[in-house]
Amino acid sequence: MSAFWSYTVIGIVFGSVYAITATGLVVTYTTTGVFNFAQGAVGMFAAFSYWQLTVAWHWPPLVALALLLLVGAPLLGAAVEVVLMRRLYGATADRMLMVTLGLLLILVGVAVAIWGNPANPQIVPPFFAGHSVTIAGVVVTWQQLLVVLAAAAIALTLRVFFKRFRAGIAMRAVVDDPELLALAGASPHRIARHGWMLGISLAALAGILLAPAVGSTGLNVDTLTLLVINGYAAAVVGRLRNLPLTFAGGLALGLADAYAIGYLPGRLPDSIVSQIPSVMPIVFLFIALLLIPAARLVAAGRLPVHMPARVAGGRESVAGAILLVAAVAVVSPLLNGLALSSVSQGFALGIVALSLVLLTGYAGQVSLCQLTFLGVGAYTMAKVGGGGSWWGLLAAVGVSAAVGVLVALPAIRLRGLYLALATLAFGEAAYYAFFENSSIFGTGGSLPVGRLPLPGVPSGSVSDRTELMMIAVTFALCAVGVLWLRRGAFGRRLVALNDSPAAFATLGMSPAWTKVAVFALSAGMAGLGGVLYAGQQGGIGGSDVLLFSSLTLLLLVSIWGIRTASGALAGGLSLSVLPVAQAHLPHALADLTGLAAGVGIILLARSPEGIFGSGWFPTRLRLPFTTEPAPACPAEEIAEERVGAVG
Amino acid sequence: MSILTGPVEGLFAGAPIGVAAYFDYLNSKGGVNGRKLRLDGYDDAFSGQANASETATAIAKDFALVGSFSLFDNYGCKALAANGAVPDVSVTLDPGTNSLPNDFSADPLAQGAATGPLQYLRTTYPKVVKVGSLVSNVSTATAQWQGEQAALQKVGYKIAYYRPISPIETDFTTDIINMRNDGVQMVYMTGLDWQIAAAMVQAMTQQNWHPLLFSGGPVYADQFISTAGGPSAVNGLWLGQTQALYLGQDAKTVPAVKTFLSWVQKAHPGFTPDLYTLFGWSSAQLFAQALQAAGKNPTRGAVLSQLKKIQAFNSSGLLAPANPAKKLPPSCYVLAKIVNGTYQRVADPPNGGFRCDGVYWSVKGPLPSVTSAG
Repeated sequence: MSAFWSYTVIGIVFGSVYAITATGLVVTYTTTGVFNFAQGAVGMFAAFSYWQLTVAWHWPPLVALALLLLVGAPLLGAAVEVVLMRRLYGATADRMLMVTLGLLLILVGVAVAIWGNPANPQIVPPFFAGHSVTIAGVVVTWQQLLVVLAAAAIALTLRVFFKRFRAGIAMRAVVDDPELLALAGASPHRIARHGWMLGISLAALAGILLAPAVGSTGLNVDTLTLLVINGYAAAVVGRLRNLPLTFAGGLALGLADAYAIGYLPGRLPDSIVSQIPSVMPIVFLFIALLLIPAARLVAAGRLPVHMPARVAGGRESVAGAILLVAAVAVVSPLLNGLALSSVSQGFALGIVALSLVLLTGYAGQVSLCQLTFLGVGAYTMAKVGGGGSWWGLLAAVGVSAAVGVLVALPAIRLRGLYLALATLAFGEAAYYAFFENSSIFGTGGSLPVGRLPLPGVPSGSVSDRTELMMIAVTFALCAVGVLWLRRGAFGRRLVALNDSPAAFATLGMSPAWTKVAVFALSAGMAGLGGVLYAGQQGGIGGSDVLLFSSLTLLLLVSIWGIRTASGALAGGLSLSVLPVAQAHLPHALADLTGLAAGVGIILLARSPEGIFGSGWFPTRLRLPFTTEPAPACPAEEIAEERVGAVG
Repeated sequence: MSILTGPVEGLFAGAPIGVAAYFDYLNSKGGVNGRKLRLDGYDDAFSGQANASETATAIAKDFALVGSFSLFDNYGCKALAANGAVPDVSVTLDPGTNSLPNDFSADPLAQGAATGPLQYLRTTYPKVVKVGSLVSNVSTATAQWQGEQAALQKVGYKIAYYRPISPIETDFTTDIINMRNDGVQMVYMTGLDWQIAAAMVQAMTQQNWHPLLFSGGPVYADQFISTAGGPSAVNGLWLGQTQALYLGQDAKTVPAVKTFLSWVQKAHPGFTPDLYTLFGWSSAQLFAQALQAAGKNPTRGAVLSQLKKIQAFNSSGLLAPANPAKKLPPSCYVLAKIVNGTYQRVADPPNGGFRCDGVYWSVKGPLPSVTSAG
């Protein structure tokens, strides 16, 4: 029994870490209507800045805290509102989501450039070092108590502020109906700016408070940035609005974590036990999304009012495909070594990007786990028919499609932000429980995958150049197929589903069936891309399906044009070629791919069609501080779309 | 070939620095048979694809691969297997690469542990029987743990607590409480990097729990002691490792340590050497030894033939003797302890060097011993 109380104390300490990160998310969402995926990156940046000031430059902690929390973070919040978010007024929820993902990648890229690869660990000393109390046999430091108390105090204080104070109520109102708020004499922009300043300051506070514990052996950009993902589950438990419930969700997650680590070792296989801390928050998030009644999962956002990109006709798309293959045939003899393999990989990733065109571009279903399907396809290929056979290819497409259906079924009632969170949860759970599992991927951490045999050429004898041609032909066929689908009845259904799920359902069509079908198709195509990707490099492992890579692919395809086949190819090639270029650039561009994706998506935030989908693209490039033209169809805008109940 | 950029930037930057340092050192003495050695660096950027294609490029462009260290050797393995005439002199974590006939390692891969240091502790602390351990859930570490577990049990220890951990974990308080409740007397910290070992020690200190600590080598790092909480937190920690104290403590007794450190600083001023730097340096030395023996006009085949003859190699005392030709790991070791916040050798053999009083115990049982560098 004493062990139980010890685990309980540890769980509350763990849980407060989750709670404090989730609270910042909820506050930002409550006051801005935006789920800030960059919340963790802001905390990470604040933690490194605090280290720079207090440890590297020996500033007094209180001065550093005051500078960062009262000046730096509010200024950053104001800048985010003025430079990024104000331009997005009227944009769809998925555009806002992508802009925050872009901000995340920029902050990570800048942090890597400034603080990456240190000679010595960057350690933030704990607050009140040397002081502790013993509770239920567990020594708890004052630093840990500070986090517990801060998490509780922030949740309760802000709850009162948003419910009882005029300024807090105005912050919620600016999300619900800014026009109505303006009629009442308030400035929606000013209030939204204050909301961002508060949200970013809370993210910075969380980062600084958690830095001594999370970075006790050295701050790490990725660990701090991704820490907030563990808070997503608690935030969803609080339905992104209820702070006390969010705090409770955080504690419940922490307790579940502590009890699992405390009681399960020796009772479950090692491969499961080792993944508990990584997978628990993700499973918690998935369950929360499934169990909370759909009507409560309400996301702010607007219906799309843009003109979709022109779809190429049948002859046009076939001619384009032939031209593309011919161009590859001409260029491929000029390529060697890494350049040759990078281009091949780019075409294979282009096939995965085409799956995003179907799923996100046409149907409006945001997926943050597309590389997971790539991995599933490649894994199946590795296991069927000796690792390089046409049977393996068929099985890979089939299994990937089946996994797509498995993801789609629980996600049928989700859309926009919540669907994105569900796919992120699935991708992360698959990464830790499956792709990083040595009992599945073996001692080397990866499985060998062969190339598809060709007539007269066995799997092991397909040359790099032949492989490039085959992948390019496959891409061209897939692109023609996707465009054919788009022109047909199914494609029109997808666009209708994207435009208005409510109208779609009203017309007697089934959003559920359509979502399942497009998920299956998309996942199957991503699996096909995975087979070719893995065959080209000779294997598949966890490093091929990283979350950041999935996010970056989505952003790159969005930048080039997520409703166009050319955008898919450019996105795939960018993801493959930029890292190669990065190796030859200065240290400041160590995260070139992330920086390019982040900056690009922000510049093109108002242009959902991307570069290739917008005609002469420079007319769609909007620099910060430029004035937006009035929406094309203002009368059609709907202030808030209650999408949770649909489907 | 190493991981220099990517998600974990500079992860194994030490490996090419070690190779470059040894080549610089050798070239300063006139090179090998009058020829100067030149290093072409390749970066797989944490990518299997890049590792495969860069390995193929290196095979086409360079005489041999030397001092590679990556987590993606299994991707480049295919190209190496298809080009069996190309020597690869590198320490690898990949069993497939390790088994190639053209792969030679200064510290061959084997899943297990030297029994010598464990037997010494068992004799010194006879009442300490229950062992607890956390092991990173990365495939190489868990495979290694199988052999280490067998070695621990062979000398009479009982595994009282064990948990495979995710590399992203930062708090081990629950494990410390569990180990304390399970009566663990010694914590075995080998399948971890030094940062996680430091976080474990921090948690032990916070909970006022001070068992016997043992590490097979990972905690031998410049920053470990200060990061783990300073001398008071780690004094008394035992090390049993197959490398000399190459960070400087052995500089007086092993001249190669001084040479290694000074040339690393010349190759990359300000760089703190690590185990990968040592592997790079030793691999370059093993390659140069074979190249020297291959004569004035060496071919790849001649170098491979010479590598197959090297049955004892100790990198001038930097490493315990191993058998690269037969891929046998070292069974000798250095016993050391943290005393007053510094790493110090303990119970050295009369003539210095390495203790050779045990065997290397692998998952398949004991391996033939390599006790001298000939």
